[in-house]
Amino acid sequence: MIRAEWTKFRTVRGWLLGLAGAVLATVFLGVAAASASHTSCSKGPVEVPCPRPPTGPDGGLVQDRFPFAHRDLAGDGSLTVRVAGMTGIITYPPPNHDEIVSGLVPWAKAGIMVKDGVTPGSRYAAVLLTAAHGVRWQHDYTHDQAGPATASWLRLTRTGDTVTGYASADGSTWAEVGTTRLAGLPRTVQIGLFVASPTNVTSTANARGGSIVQARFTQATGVFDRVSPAGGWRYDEVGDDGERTDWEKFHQPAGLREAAGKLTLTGSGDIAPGGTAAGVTVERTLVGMIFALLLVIVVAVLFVTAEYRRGLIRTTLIAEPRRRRALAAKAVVIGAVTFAAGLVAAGITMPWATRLLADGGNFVQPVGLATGLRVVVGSAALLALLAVLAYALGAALRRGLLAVVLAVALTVLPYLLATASVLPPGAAQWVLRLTPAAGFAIQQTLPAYAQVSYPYTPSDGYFPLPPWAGLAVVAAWAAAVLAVAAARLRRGDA
Amino acid sequence: MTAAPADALRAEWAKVRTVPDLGAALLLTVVLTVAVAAVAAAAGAGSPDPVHVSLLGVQLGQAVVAAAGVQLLAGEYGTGLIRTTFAALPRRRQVLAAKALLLVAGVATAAVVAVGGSVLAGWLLLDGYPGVPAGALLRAAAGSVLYLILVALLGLGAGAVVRHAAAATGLVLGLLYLVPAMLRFFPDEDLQELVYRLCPATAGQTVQTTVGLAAMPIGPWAGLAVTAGWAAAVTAAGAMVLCRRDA
Repeated sequence: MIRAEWTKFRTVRGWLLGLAGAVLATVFLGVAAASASHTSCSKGPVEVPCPRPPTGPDGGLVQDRFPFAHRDLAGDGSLTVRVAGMTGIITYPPPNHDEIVSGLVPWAKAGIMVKDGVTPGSRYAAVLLTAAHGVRWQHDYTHDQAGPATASWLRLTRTGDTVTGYASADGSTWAEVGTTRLAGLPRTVQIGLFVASPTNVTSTANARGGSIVQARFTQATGVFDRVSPAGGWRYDEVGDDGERTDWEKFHQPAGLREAAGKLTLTGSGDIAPGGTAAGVTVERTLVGMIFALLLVIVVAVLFVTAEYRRGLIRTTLIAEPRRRRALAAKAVVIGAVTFAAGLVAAGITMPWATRLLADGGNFVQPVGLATGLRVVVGSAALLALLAVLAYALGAALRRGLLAVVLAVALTVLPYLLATASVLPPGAAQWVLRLTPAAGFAIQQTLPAYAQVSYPYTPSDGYFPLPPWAGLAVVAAWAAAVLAVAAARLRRGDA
Repeated sequence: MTAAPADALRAEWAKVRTVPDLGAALLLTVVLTVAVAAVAAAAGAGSPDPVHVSLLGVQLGQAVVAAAGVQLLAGEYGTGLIRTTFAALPRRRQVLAAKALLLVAGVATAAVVAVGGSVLAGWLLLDGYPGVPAGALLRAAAGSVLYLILVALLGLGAGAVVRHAAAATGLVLGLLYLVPAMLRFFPDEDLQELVYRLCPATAGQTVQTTVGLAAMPIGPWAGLAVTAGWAAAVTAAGAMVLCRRDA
């Protein structure tokens, strides 16, 4: 039965051409876009290789730039401080963008940290106070854990490889906020005080589609007292790139002031997962898939409606009177064929275009082998499931034109509306939860982090559902429409 | 005996009247456009451009009118009816013109109802478009009606060129949806703007913008003219293919 359906498929030249076109469109568009994309950096008149953003212990991009008052800690030890106050400024925030106001961004931080040196990307664990999210326990950039909502005393202890953070409201009763084992931590580490003030970020819709993300400079000042044990502080701006804003030049430079047992630390930056703004993601190379999808929809619909048009369906059903089986056999064939085509298309495009992007001086977000495979295989699975959905629509409606319109309206249109900033972000997220366009989540490689104030919108490539859940939504749609098609096939005349 | 243009029109009218395809498609256009508009308006409170949000249904409606345009001619190739049509009315361009006329009339009626309903839904759900000048609202609404008519003609022309309903629909929908979807991936801003100006969907839909129009890559009427250019070019190509090739 499956062999018969495969024979039907492979002997229609137009369908094979459509499928080949889908593969070629994906490869061509991905490679063409990649080779047209160049990034260059210059120092004065000289072109230099662009500085690579720092990567953390797990290989992902990180932000690691902040003022740090630190000293050596050899072996075990602890540090206790009271955060006496936190103030700051935000430059030109919305709505008017016309003045510098005093205030803190929600994730402005003041706290204490154990860090494996001051090289950007080195390992750390910290207990810290935030402007709007209470006490947090954070380590190695991606990990974030909530502590008590209010506290002003913080304590950090290191025992071997294990670092533990405590918080207290009064300095006498302490509660543990978090504990972490940083395996392989050297004997001598840096322990000290830090502040961080991430940029103030907004996202506005771009008239041509997509969104424009703007980040504005902010600065925070933390006042620490009752520091114990005290003394011996060295100051470093971790990850300093030498750039200074006008505010830092003319009003308030970053730095450390010590007076009467009080340490005042001023500065900007963040120690957090990074990579939202830097570089290109690998899934960008698969933009041509949406073209492939349209071709696949037409082929998948015609695969069944052509039989009704020509009356071949009656022959098919005489050869296989168990109608549900006939329907399933066709679904298997169209699914398998489009999966193979998708695998070839994504498997060629992603490595090739990624290479071209890197050659053009662009920074490509590093992804692990597992994630890369998930994107390639998942994209193929997505194409196959959407093909089965289109085929099922064709089988249920028996009218090629109507099925093509409906399949496009269910897949391509929601994807377009949600990702091209046509819809407001809230509505866009619902569209990407409910419609088959949810499946494109399988291509997302960068996770969204709650501890970073960044507009993780669909137009930036962030989907509301996790990758496999998105694919499951498509599978559910395909199964539901197949069930409708099966019911119609069983009940009515062919 | 040569048939007069009025005969072609009467013959096409008889087909449209007795086959439910076009009527159903137009009804579907109205229902889908207004439904999407109402949902978008309900979800889109606080959007910077409320008129644009309430006209979002046109994004879906255009697919249905394009398909209706394709079906009107390409559908006859599917059933073989086209040979009878051309035997009765050998002036093929006249047949195309009659179909185009009926399509324009039908889509215009449906579009007026659909866009009117969308604007009304938005009006009720978004508290009467505060701060939008009446002229801009009128331009967006009238422009959307014209846009839908042009898209339907684009479909008719594509059906004449490709002759296969599903394939022609795929082609037109690709033009309407894929180019806008790809736009943000273009690496170069200038290229983005150029493609925006040349694509019938993005250029034509500019007419729906009522806020920040100066920042758009193309003006509202110029954008609609681009869509009209596409419709005219494809329909002309369709007329040529129709006359040259066997049916």
